[in-house]
Amino acid sequence: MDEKKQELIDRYIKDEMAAEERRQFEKLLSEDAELQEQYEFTRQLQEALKSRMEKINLMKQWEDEEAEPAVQKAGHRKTLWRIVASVAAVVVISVSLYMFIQPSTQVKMPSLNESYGDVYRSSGELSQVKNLILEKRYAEALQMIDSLEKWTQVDEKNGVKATMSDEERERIQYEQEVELQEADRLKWLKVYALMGLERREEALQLLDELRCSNGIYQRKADSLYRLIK
Amino acid sequence: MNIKLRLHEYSDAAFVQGVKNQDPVIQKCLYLHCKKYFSEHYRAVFFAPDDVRDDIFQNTYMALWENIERGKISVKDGVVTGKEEKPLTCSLMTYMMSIAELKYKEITRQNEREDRFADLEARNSRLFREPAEQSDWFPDDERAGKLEAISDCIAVMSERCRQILTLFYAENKKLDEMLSLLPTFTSKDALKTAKNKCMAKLRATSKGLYEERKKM
Repeated sequence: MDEKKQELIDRYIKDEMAAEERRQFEKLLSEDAELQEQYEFTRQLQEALKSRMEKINLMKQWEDEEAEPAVQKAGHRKTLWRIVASVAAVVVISVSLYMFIQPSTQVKMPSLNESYGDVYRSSGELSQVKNLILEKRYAEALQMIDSLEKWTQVDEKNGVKATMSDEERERIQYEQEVELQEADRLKWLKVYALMGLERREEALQLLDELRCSNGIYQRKADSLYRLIK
Repeated sequence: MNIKLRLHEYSDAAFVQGVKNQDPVIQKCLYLHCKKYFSEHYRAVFFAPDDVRDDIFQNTYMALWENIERGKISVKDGVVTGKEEKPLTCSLMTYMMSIAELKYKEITRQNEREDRFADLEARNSRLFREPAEQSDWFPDDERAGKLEAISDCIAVMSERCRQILTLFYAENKKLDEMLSLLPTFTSKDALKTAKNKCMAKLRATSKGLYEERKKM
């Protein structure tokens, strides 16, 4: 490598030449192939070194950004946990408030089809009431129940008498049993209608009656009573 | 308050395109991704002590970065492509690890010799006769090929030479300024001579490397 030529090249690329000297060098560059090759190599070397230096500096910067001091990192982690804890607290309080304000809507009533339809074939009117409840027409269902209740009251005056024959006694007892079952069935449907209308206390009262009797809904009423309570 | 969020992961094509576009977020993300992948997988490729491993990674990542900048790998229709715009046959991480393997070989061969520039012919025949994969990477452009050869030689040259040339050409320092930074040199002339020697060696080596790669 020609050191004198290299010195010229170095002064040229570092912009240390005066205008006239610069012009003369450029003329020489166009005429001397060896100088051209040496100049080209120097330019490429400079480009490669600058590129390498920039990349190394960036890589160091990224390393520094990632390798924060342990205290700072712990501080950031604490801050993050505080934020997470605050958000969690807000969520818990909101859910609790929502549950407190809207207690009745939280009760998941058992399916009416399952809880009602398994015991006995029911009358047409009761089926109508059941369908109204399934369609969430609770007010109409309650109205119908109230009118049906007047008709299903057990007439105790027409109960079993000592003078009756066995057959007659059996027939009356059977009829009373059917009436009681109808009454319980109506009460059960009424519970659903009342819960649908969010009349929780009345529903609980009815359930208490059902669970205290020996009727067909005793166990179901007891479970549902506890669930609503 | 500076809360860091987890960096988003990108596809290979998104990484390559992002680095090509000099997107600072993607550049950093790729660096961290490569570093993590390298640290988890380098033992399957080679064994090296920690300081050598870190040098290998730095040179590897730099080579990958420059390959993207120079268009050796690029993105076409959402697919990462290599030479002649053919789709890359491996993942970007596998590509990086193959570069790492080559860098490892270069560094270990360098460590075998005291003066790696003394026996140029032996060096060209052993050090740079790399597997066939290298031929796939050889750029069509002559200037790009020479630049790449220079970059590769800078990566493995002696730290002393690299420091002198970086101060003079990359940081644009004058010889007077460099004397205060390099106390082992007592005069400007001695420093100038050392600089020119480093350049001469680098020029010869890079030229040899370039010619060697052209033959493959």
